[in-house]
Amino acid sequence: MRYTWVYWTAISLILVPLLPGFAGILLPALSYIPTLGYTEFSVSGFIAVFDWHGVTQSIHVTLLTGTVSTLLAVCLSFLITRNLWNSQRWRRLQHLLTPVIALPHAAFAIGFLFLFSQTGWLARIIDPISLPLLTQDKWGIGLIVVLTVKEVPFLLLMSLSVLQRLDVNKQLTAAQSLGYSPQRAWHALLFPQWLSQMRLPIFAVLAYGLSNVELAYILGPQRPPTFAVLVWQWFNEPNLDLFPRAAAGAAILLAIGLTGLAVWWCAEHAYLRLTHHMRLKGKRHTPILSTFAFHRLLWLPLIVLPTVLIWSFTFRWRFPDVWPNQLSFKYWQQEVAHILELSFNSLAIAIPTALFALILVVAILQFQRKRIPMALIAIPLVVPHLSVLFGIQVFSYWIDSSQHWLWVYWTHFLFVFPYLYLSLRSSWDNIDPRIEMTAMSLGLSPWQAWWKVKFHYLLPAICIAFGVGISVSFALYLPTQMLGGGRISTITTEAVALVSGGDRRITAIYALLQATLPLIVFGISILAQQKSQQRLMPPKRHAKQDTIYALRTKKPHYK
Amino acid sequence: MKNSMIVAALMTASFSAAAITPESSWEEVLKEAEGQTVYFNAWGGSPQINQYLRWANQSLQSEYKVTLEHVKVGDIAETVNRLLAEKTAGKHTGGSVDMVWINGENFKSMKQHALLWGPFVTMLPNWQYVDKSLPIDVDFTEPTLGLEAPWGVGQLVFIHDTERLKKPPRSFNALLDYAQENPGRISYPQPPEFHGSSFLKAALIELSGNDERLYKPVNHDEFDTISAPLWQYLDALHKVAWQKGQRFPASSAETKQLLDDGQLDLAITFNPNDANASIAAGSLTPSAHTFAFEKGALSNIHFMGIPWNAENAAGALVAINFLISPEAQIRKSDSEVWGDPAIIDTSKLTGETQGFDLFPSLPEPHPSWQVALEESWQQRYGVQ
Repeated sequence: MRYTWVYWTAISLILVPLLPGFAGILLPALSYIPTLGYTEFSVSGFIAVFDWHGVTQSIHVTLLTGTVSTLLAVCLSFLITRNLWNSQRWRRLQHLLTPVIALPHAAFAIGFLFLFSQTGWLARIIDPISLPLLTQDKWGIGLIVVLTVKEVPFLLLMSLSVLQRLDVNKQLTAAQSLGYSPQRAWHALLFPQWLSQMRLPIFAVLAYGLSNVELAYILGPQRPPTFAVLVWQWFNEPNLDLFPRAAAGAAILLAIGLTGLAVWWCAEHAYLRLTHHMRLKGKRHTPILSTFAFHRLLWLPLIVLPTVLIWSFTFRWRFPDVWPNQLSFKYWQQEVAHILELSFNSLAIAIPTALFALILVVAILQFQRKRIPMALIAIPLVVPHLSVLFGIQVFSYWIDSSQHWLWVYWTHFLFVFPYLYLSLRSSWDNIDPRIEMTAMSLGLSPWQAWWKVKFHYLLPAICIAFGVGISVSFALYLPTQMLGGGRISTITTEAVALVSGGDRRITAIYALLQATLPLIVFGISILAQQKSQQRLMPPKRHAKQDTIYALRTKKPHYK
Repeated sequence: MKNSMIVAALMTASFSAAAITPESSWEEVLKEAEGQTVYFNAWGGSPQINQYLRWANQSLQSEYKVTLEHVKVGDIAETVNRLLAEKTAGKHTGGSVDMVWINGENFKSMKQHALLWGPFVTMLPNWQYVDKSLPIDVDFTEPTLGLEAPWGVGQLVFIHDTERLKKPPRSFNALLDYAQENPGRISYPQPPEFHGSSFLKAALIELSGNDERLYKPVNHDEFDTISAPLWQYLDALHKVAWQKGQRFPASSAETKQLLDDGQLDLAITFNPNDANASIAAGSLTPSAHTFAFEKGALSNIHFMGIPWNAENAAGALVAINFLISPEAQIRKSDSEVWGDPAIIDTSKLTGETQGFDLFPSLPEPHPSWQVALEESWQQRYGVQ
């Protein structure tokens, strides 16, 4: 293949930092840290992990929150798709997805806390006693809710391209003509196909659910916390002699993540096999499944934002007053000078990183038959950042640590690339190869066929993937802080430092900024996409015709 | 260990002829510092402190041509890890951190692994102003040996709202009585959070009758007997604590938030001037008031140090010298600015006190006690 080098470039850009990253986990996990005087291998780090009282409960709660939220998110995304398919709301929903995806997890969690905690806005409006405990509750219900609600839009977005490929309307029509109800057709016919096509995005969701630190720290249970939070606390232990325990914890967390993915893979196959014979029997009975308006849940992340906005302009706001007692621009004024510089830095990291990753992903998907091994994509998603980054940091000192920007770009790339790859892979694999062939048969060169035809089919997916990449980069804290050597501050590094002080007003300002910056970039990329799409479209139809067209597509096609 | 520090210092010297050593004169330091940018890794969670450091930067730039860059971290242990990574890679010069804000366990760890430059405190011209009657040469019983310079004083105190709670309890036993009469109104941050662990230590000092064994490394045979009254106390307290002891606040900041939200009757803090500073910042009601328990407040000092491989050690020395100057210290103790108690005797200089007095102090136990108490707390209460 002519473009093999593109493939290998991507592979090595991921592998080169990951290898020292792994050494940075495994050697200390096996108590080999010459700097601290540990020069013999031992498993005492692992023993220390399991000696920690409550570690099994912590792993339980991790598995519970990670898997339950993933299962819920998968079910909800499927039900929303089924319920809204072909309706007007489906189109509106697509516009809603983008802002919700662009909203960083931490900003959503902070807003959720402001709204639903025992002294949050909701408790100020209604009687606080009757509110269930949704933050830092024992079972991690609040955490599950936030994870689920935040991941459903991502899955819906990913399923858009999957559904295009599946040619849902045709399949539904065929099924109905055989006497299946539409609902039954969705469940028996479309769900299995959808599920296996959605495997990679679901992996990303599961990996995040099992390994996230900031959400679990803000909203998760505390006695004990989730395992990822525990490992993070261990890494922040001032006593460096406990470093092997932290590293062993990181290795275990990685193992939990990879096992989770393996279990999902097995479960998915088992499910498809088990239900296979049911489908063969051709049962036409419709299971009673709610048509409840699950899509309303999608608004939740946006509903929390007004509270954050109000808090950012507050000077005094005592509980249980419903409105602030005293408003002030003080904190905005104090921060505004820094905000510009920080926003610039955030953008200066996110845009080039996402762009570069995008070009690589597109090149690989377009010109390479070989696909990147799933494990290589999954590892950056699952692995605790702190531990891998320690190894990468040591590696950077050996080479040249003064290249702060370069290292920051590289580590951001490491974590952004998998998301872009996941977002785009199915779009590429799903596109009908005949499109390109037809274009070429009409006299276009392969390049022209790609650029003038296929590219435009893929443009929506590309724009959204780019936006996803930007928001992932925006939200990264540790890579910027650790490899940037404190020379590079972004909105997120500033936010994390300030959030540790627990001041609601300052927290609100940075949560808002975290939410709006990616949104602006997302918005611009969507606008650009629509503009370019318009050029391709025939001249605008009138609104009336539009509805007729919509009605017509609802009817089954028989040809 | 001391040897290795000297070696490190010598290596620094041999790599660059102009580099300063702890033996350099102050003139050499000032000359070398000109034009340097000092990267000061310090907790960045307080807008007031961040604002204060911006002011310090402006003064340092105009007076000494030294730029002070505040590298805001969520937890200084991140920086200790970073220095460990630098040491692992053999990076003994040109390090990325020039100055750190530390105390307690972080200091002990850095000292133990020879991650600090110095000793340097006697090099500083403003050292003469430092109030030597304060325990500035020990950090949680660990001798500082001049490897870190004091910056401010922390005292474990409580805040109450004088309108809601007129007469707050003034001892741990009174606190339990109060909690039993008013269930659900008392709590403390969950150990191993710094303030939570300090609450345990302060309680143990009172309940054990200030046992002198607390100031020596913990002896595991004695630990159970000495700490037994603490666990009895906590068993009783948790039953009547906030949220029935099912949940604990995550930090000192959360206790203040909960006090302001009317959920707790007492907040806990290490800044004896916190109530005034928080009123000025709008995060507490004007009727908030700081007080200490009768037996005194658990007290410690927070310090500034220089990593062994700092690239701009001279600039860091100039910055530290400025931060312990009367000008900087008096400004720091102003509630409208930060409200952190000065480590210089302000009354000698200006004839005025800093607007508040320090509470009678209780020294910190040996750091090994903190580790043992945190572990034992985790054993008993860490799992719901």
